[in-house]
Amino acid sequence: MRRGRLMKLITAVIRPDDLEIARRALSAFGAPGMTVTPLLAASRWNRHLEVYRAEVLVADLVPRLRIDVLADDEDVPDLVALLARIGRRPRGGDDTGRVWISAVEQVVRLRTGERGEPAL
Amino acid sequence: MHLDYIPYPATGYSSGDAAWQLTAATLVGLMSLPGLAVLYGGLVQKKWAVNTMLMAFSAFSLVLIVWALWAFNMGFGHPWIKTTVNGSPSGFLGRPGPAMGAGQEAQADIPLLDGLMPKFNFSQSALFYFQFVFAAITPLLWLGSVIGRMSFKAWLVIVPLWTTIVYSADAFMLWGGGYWAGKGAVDYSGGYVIHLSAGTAGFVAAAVIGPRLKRDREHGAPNNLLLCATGAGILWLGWNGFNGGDPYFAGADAAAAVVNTNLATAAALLVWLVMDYALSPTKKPTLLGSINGMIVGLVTITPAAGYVNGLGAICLGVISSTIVWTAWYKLSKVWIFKKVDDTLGVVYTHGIAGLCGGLLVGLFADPNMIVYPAGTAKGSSAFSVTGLFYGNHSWHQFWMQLFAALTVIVWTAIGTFVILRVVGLFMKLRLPDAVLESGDLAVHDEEVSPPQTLVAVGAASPPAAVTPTAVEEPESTASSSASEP
Repeated sequence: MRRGRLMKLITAVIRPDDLEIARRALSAFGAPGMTVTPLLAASRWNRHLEVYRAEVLVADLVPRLRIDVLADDEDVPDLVALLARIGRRPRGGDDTGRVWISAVEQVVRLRTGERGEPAL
Repeated sequence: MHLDYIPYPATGYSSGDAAWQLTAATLVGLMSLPGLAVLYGGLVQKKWAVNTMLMAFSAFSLVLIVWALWAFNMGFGHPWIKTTVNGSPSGFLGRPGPAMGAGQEAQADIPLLDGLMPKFNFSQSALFYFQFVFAAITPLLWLGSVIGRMSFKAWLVIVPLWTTIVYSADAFMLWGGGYWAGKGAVDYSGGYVIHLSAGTAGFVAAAVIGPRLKRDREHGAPNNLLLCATGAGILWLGWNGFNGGDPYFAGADAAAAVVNTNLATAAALLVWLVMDYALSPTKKPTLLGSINGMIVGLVTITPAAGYVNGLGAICLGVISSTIVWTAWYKLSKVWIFKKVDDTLGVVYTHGIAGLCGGLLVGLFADPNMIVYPAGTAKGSSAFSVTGLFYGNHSWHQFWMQLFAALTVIVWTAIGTFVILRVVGLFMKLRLPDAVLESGDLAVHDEEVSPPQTLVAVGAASPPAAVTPTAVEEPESTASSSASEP
């Protein structure tokens, strides 16, 4: 009974520069789809200074992209491992993002009305 | 003596000629600022727009200072080492010297052209400024080849050297009465001195400096097509001064050159549009393609503007646009053209288009297009140029055009290569990859559309935990550095 299987929402917030590699990795893995949202993010590490007409300004919020992928439970460890590799910067630098997982109660594919895993 | 020219004497000065020369010069200046600055600023990725525009503004300033201190006289003064060509004094480079004294208010003069063209009807200042805007636009053009990875500091050092060593010599050989002028090669407004030279220099510089980041080469989407259209439009109409100012007289040939310029440009734009429709991979007409075609038309008519008739101008536009379109789509896939990262394709739209125009002068130049009428210069008949299709159907002019082109290519390539290599001994020409990742922010602390969430230092709120808790935080992201190196 597929309807009862667990689904998860994997969310990654990444640097815009890393989108291409994320897309390639997800597509190579065979992820059914993804949603990308531009947003502003803040953290301890990604502040930087900008200077306009000698006035020094702080960018507290910097542009990031949010990727949401709905996945069948058994694919989750692999997908998270993939996404977690993307922002690796062995020698430091900006904060390159986070990946987290949330439980999903139900998924309905609007076009067909399918529910659960077939709707992924 | 120069006081005679204030306001101006009854003879030897024409307020009409002088007014047009300064107007034409200003139009050409507008082609650089803001024309090229916003065209290139809009064509590059968003993260390079500020860098591109600042390189344009700073180079314009650098060239003017260098031009006044020594370079104008290297292009248009007395020959440094005198030689003789066809019995007339000649040379390869002018003697450097300042062009800033009160004597600049005297009647304009290019020593080696004395007696070969009518006497100027305006002051040396007008000639100086008119020639300056040409000198200034040339490095701005080949900036398009190296943008997106060239060190800003290196740019500031290289531009003055390039104007001094490369541009001055090219200008002297063709416009200052130097070797190729004596041989009879012609370049009406800079198809060789400016565009062929810019295409060559850009290509060589791009090769020496090295490519952009691989990702930037693959995803080089422009950031603002409205600015591209604005800059391109300023270029087109500014070109009326570019080609219309070069006879140095507000006469009939200036008007003919302006009309020819527009005819060739319209033809070239439309040809590119049609080729996009018929032959491009997507079979769709594109704005940026049409702008390329427009630039090809402007560039290709530049060496020919006052020498060809209207039909010739249209032919130049059609032929060059076809050739450059083909090169843009086919040549770019092979050989060194594939390897070298010429960011905006300057070698095609300026290098190849300028070369085509210069060579086609040897075919299409109409001897009835009179630049200077008989009797206006000592013991000479009217000055015009005769191409293969007219007069005695001689290839002579074509060969002269070809040899002059080869000289410009070789001198520009060697000069650019040596300058970059020497400067490269003292500083890095290419920015480190980490800087290339962020572009404008890393180099200038500015970005082209600053986020409106910026706050003054001190007023900054402590970084909130807006980013939700991580499932697994890589230890390596923890760095005390708040900004890119």
